[in-house]
Amino acid sequence: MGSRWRGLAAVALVILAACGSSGGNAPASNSKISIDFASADDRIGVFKTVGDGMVSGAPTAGVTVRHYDNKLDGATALANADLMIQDKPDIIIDWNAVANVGAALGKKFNNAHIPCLAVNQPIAGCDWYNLSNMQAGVDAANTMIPLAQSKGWTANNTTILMVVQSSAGVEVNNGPRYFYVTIASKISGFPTMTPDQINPQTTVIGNHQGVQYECNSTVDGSYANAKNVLPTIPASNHVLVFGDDTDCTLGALRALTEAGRANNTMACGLGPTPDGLTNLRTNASWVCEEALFLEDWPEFIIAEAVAIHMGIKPPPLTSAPQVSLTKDNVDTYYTGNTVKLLPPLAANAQYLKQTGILQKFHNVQGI
Amino acid sequence: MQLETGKVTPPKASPPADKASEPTQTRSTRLVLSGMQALGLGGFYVLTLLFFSVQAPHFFSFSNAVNILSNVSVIGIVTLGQMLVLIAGGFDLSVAGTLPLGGVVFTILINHGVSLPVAWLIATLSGGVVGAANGLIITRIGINPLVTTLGTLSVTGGLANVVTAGETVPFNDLNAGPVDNVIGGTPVYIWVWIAVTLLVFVVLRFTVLGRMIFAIGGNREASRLAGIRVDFVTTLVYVISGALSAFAGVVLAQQLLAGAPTVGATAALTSIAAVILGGAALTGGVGGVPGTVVGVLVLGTVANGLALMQVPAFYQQIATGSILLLAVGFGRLRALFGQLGDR
Amino acid sequence: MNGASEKRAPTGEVLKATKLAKSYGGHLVLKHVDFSIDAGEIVAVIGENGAGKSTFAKIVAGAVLPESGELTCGGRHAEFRSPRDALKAGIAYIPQELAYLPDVSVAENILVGRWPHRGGVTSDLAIRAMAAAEARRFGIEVPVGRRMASLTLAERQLVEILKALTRSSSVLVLDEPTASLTSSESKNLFSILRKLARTGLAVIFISHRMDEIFEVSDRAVVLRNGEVVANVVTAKVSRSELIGHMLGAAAAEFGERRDAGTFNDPAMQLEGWSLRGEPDIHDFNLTVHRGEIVCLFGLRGSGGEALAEGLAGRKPKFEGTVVIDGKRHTVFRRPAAARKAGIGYVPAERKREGLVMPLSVYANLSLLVLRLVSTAGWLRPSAERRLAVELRDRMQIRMRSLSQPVSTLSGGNQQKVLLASRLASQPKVLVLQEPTRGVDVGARFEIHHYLRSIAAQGMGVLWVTTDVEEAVLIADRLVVLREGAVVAELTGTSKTQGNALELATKDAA
Repeated sequence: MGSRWRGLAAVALVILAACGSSGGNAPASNSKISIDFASADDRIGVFKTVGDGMVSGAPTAGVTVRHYDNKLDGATALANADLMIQDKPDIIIDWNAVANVGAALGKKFNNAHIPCLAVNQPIAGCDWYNLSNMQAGVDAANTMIPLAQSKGWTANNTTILMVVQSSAGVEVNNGPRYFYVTIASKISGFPTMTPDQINPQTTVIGNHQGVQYECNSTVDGSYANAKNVLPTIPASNHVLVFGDDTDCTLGALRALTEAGRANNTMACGLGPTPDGLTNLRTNASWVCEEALFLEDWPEFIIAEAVAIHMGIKPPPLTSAPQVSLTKDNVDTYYTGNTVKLLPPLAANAQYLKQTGILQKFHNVQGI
Repeated sequence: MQLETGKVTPPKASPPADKASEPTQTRSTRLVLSGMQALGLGGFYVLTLLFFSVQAPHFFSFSNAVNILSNVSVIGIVTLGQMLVLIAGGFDLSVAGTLPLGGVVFTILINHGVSLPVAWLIATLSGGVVGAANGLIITRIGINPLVTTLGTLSVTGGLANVVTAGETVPFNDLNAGPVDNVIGGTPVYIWVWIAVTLLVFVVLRFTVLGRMIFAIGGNREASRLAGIRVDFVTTLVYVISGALSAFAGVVLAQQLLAGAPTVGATAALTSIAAVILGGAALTGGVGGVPGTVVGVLVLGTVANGLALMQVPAFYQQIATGSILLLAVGFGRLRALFGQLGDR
Repeated sequence: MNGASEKRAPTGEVLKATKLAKSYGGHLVLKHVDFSIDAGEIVAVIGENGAGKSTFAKIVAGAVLPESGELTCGGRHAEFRSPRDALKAGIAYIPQELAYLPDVSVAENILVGRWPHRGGVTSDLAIRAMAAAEARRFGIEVPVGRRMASLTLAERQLVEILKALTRSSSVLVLDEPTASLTSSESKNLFSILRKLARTGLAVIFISHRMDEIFEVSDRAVVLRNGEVVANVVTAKVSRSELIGHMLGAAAAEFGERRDAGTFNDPAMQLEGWSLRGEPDIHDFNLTVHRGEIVCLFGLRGSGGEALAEGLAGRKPKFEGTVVIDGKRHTVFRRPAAARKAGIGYVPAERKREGLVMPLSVYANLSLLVLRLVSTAGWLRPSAERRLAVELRDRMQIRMRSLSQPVSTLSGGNQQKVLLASRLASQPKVLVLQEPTRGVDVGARFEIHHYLRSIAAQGMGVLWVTTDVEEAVLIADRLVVLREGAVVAELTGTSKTQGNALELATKDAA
């Protein structure tokens, strides 16, 4: 046992020594604005893109960025919050994708008097930048409704298929939720549901006019669950499917295609992802792809951070650029899989023009 | 020529009069071995501290030391329970389920007006109940610990999700997290961890229960033949582990100000890794609190240092995996050297 | 040099060692060993643990380099840098832990490295034929076609010996060859060794079993503290003299026989014990008196083991009752119940069942009596230490420190710890299974002596063993078991090894 005590004594000594000393290399303070950014989970493609974009976009924007990883874990996000506060940056940008732990994070940032910006999931006491899943769902519905009606699909012979990820919280699942609500409000015959009535426990609405299942994060996960659910939907029904993201929708479409129902399906993805764009361009059943332009978030996030630092008070929510890509307009915004152009700023994002950051990237319509 | 005692049995003459006397010829070997052991983990830890002090900004500071300790407080409590199970010769994978379960139960209770201490107690007991299930299945039905705790892990995880409808449940009252308070610049929950550590240390070292835990881990059959109630002690150990893990879940919930059913995904492997790093044997019968604490600190420090160095996530995974392999490998080397030195 | 039976048996000195010395870590294990052996001689090298006999064997076999001294082989100075050198010089070493290829056939093992082939391709038939021929040549029967791992230990040993012989070895060094053999297997081995010796093979074997030394060796060399203290013709020396040389003490103490005293006071009475199993035991009755040492002797599987385990509470399927110290109990369902009733049980395998290896010596000593050294669940280190010191001194257990792990003690001392831990609970009756298995002569003697004194203080002792030598030595009453039943009770002059073996093995295959 003596050896263990020696190890522990060594630890104690070093910690005591650390108390006396000052910090290691502090970031050089120069005129550049310093930003600490914690990404949602660098292991997952979509989130990783934003993280990488923050680091690579920093020089263009003329700021410095230190980059942490929340690993989709509340405890890690808390630990990162401590580390970021320790850095004493000008602004902290925190993308913590675990719902409802924002209060603890916000408390830390506010106690430390460091301005903070929450991405995607709100953090109490911080400004908020987010896409609107609700908007995506509404847009997808609005794109699909005329197409479905032109084919004569009605509430009696159509199922609205929602693919959700309950553990990601309410906001993320707003897409499919409002997809249903919008369609139900514009095509008569679908049972009216308020948004709150569509929740993680929902599985079937009406006489299979609405069906909801769990995506399980990946294409394969969605596909597996879809295969279990499809037999419950009358085989002759048309299907309008929208998921939390393109992968979820892809899984559903794969199952539907396997069941020979591709002609009877209209799918809309959310991303966009390369798979989604390819399907949009080539697959008759894929009628739209909600584009969230996640890869380009960095410039907007940095712009909002700079705005906060400049003293501009942002509105409660600054909306990310979003557009509903269709077979007609996809090439306006995309060359192949690369973003060519971003849609005009949303109303609540107009103030970002004042920072001059977006102008340095030369890719937003209207600026 | 006289030969030293202890190596060769002398002819039967007078009984050995003195108390345990240190050998001379093997003292040097024993010193080298202890040196290697101490150097092994403590030395490795000092090396990591030196490394990060140079490479990572803010690492060598009081605030970061507090950060590290804060970071490991929750998993540190879980690891103490895991240590007891490992010493007793088992495994507890279900900690990854009782951790969120404790937090979730606590959150729901205080949101319904139950007082803080009572909610804490009930949440902790819920973990104990899971532990009891583990213990009974392992001892009465005879399914091995790995499979059993894997099963209860699924059940508790699912339970946590059902109870919260799959969502993280926030505290209604954002001031209900007393352990989040700070005294003297350090959060209260660090001291909670220290208190639990001391308690477990004392129990393991100075009580009959602690001795029995070592005994049944070291040789279950011999302990049984010696009259020790091995089944009861085994079950008790799992109860303690489950309770500690749920307790840690309550602490975490107070940090997060929410009960999240998704936390703790890596708790099982991290806690086992920390215990092994600290010198416990996978087969049981060996281990202790000081080593385990250093093991926890090593893992927490490396995570902290790598984050400060902004090392990409995948490399962090490689780093923690490699450390475990190194530590276990070093332990095997020690054992081999030990065999050579003692005969 | 080969020992082939075609040529005339070679004669003369084949191996000589002069002034061999070797130290390990500053400790002089061999001080000054002179040794010689002629062709056709069988020499036993004996001594206590730590006397240096294994080291000596390893030097001769080329596994270890001596610090000083020299080896002469066949008249020429020999320096072995590795076992291969020794092999080439004709010396073959058969260690206790055999090294063989388990998944491959016996024939391939015998001829390993020298498999007959045509252009690199071997053939099973050719290998087997060659191996069979060698076996015939040396007169050792082994099943050449079978997989090595499927053989019994005794058979594998013979294969190893055959392997050595086919390499034209002139000296065979065997390390405790009969440690795990039954008596008939040992007899077979000895007759083979004698046959080989007649053809000129020189055999050195290390042993501590007196009977074997007297049965097969021509000469006995005794090592003590790294020196040769006796080099005697076996036929001309007595057992007690040899033990005296080994231990350096007066011979008078050894070989003492207990007075056939009268034992009246029953400590334990087994009544009507029955078990369906291997073997079937039916209505077994036995009384062990206070102060008496009763030995249950029989071949493996004759029931002694089952009875001991039944008394220990390990075999709840037994039926019957036992009276201990006046109280009647039905067969114990759990070890804890047996202990409570006053039985101190010493299991056969100390490492697997008796001691907790990672724990310290004192923790093992107090394992059964934690209640005595604690208050309300809190251990009292001073009480525990006192208990441990007392037990250590009483039983003369040798160790560096009470805190060292019990795994670092020698086998004999480990056994003493095990025994002491049972005595700590002050049982009324001791039930022991093979208590001196794997224990060196010195410790064995001490354990015998100690148990006799314990018995003399009023404890009843039931001693289950398959070692006939020990049974005769230690028992007041030797109960011979065969196939689950008592065939005889030997006391006094009828208590001889010959009688015991005969009664135990009659009608056996």
